[in-house]
Amino acid sequence: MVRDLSRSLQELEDWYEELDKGFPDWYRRLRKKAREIFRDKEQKGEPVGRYGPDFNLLQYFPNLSSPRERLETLEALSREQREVVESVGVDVKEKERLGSHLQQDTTVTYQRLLAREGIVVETPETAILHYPWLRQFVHKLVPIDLDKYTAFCTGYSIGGALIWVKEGVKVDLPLQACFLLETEKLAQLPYILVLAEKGSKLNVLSGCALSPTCSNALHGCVTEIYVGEGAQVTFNLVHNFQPGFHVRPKVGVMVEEGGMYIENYIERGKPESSQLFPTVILRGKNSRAELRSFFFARGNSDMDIGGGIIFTGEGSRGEVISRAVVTGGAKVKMRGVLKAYASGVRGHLDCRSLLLSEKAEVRAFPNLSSTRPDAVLTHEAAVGKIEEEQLYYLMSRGMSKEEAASTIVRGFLDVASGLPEPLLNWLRTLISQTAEEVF
Amino acid sequence: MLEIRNLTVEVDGRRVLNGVDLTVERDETHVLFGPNGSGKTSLVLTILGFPQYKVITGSIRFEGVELIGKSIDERARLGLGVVFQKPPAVRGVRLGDVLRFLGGNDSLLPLLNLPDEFLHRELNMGFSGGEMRRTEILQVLAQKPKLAIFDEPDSGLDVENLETVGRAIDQFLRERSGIIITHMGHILRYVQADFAHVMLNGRIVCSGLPSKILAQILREGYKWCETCPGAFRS
Repeated sequence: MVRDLSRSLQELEDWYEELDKGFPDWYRRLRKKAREIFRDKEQKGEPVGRYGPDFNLLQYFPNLSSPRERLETLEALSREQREVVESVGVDVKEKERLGSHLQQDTTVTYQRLLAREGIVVETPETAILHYPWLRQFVHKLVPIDLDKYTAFCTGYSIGGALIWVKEGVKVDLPLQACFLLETEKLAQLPYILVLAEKGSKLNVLSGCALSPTCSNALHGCVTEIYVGEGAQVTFNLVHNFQPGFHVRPKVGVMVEEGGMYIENYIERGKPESSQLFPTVILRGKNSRAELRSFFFARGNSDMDIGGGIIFTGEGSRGEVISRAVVTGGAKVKMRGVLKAYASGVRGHLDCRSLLLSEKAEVRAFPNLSSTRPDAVLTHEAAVGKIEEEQLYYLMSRGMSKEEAASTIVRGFLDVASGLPEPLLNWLRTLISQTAEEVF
Repeated sequence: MLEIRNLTVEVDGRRVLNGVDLTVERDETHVLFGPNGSGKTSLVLTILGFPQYKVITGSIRFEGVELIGKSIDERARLGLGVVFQKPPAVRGVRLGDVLRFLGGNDSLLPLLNLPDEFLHRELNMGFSGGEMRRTEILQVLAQKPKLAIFDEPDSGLDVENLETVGRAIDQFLRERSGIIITHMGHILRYVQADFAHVMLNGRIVCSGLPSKILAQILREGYKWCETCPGAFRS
């Protein structure tokens, strides 16, 4: 069944009113409100988000795709599809994985949990019907009126996942979630809600990529993550998008006492534009967060990447680390925000970029603010090319120019050494690509 | 082994070497003295082929091969090794990474009084003067060049480090050719050198026995060298 293709916002509204009919009132109202905000912002000509380049959202259709058949196994994917999902870290054989969740366009086509005890994975649509108490969490961290993209993602989202780990359940193996874009002009807008209860441990590998059949689409997403007391959540986000694609994931995180949140973001493709600014609220005493992003901006990509930590818990600590290798005609903005509102806070911001082309451009925006005299916030930011002095120095030890450049880039990305193996493999590829492209 | 003839070099249009002649034979160790700014480091970086050192005239032949026109790494692979006076810090690149590339192993560390943890230290990041000298020498020992050039290996060293570094260089140069650049000559307490030269204003103005030249410099300073009647090489 092919869904309504109408461009008209009213027709789109009617379609969503119909879709949302079975949901509780609060959820219907929330989504309707988000759509109103979007339309309002659109009509008022309020085009830009807080960050990132603007584009016309109305050229994409969130309800365009036809439903897919469910898969028995990930190995049933075509060779081309497998290559794509593997490029963002998905293991189709599901070795060393807690489970898998695959969404193709707007349909969840595969979901399997290898250990079910204490872990729930469902589509948000099902979860909202099953668990009325989710109301206290859904769309509470990422404000629906943050910008027109967030309102759009909230009001028109289809699919996504609730990942809920119950108290004391600890899993080391990653749960792999993959969002595959296959239909031209589709706005793929999943909603992801992660609940890690007290003392739990969860590792999510979320990969978003596109099928070779698709050349122009939008990937938007709202992700909200609640890290309970003493819980630990690692969220690895890997994207592989190409020119013609806009990427707008919105991530909000709340961490309770003694909890820890680690996020690693990698963009391995060269999207038309990408904007990502996960924001973590360290609410609990001694809570911690580490936000790391690594990307290789090439072609004409316009990327606005960063992260923010708001420290409201006494003794909370956090770090934002960004590394960008920038070449071609790419434009990159690197942002980092640390705000301290509690005593004993320690925050550090470290954003560096290697600018390898005359036509590329990098800007760094470190932003630190504190209302507490005993909070310590620090930052390091550097924008530059590979220093000739370093290159010659390593060449004097007998390394070729390419070997020396690779060694320097590898050193530049050295902070990534704690990443999971699939991400490290990708970084190694990035390093050799850099040396090849630049010399 | 190394034959430099009439070498004139400019950096950004400014002359830094002005007709240098120098010959180093196999297994010889030469010492190069000179005040600050006399062109010693310029000579090293020109031999090594740093692009900003533009050769105007002259030749640099190493084992019969003309070096001018060759890249830095080609020169290194022919058998040239340099201990830098001010090596750059390279973030994220570990000393162990470079040693592995050079085919060296951990056994060299005790020779320079370096604990194993140095293998994990980032190159020249936060190193003291002594640590920098010792890790530089470590890399060159691992590189095993046919001709090693030591640019001010004794600067910024305390007495213990000077002895460690001096003995390591001396041992290394027993079967190799070397050029040691030194300002004050402290390293010569430990290293047996065959010949010494004095550089002034981008030119070698005096050559001879290291002990005689050093004694003369210590007695009269480099001012005297400007009036030196000529070589007293014996």
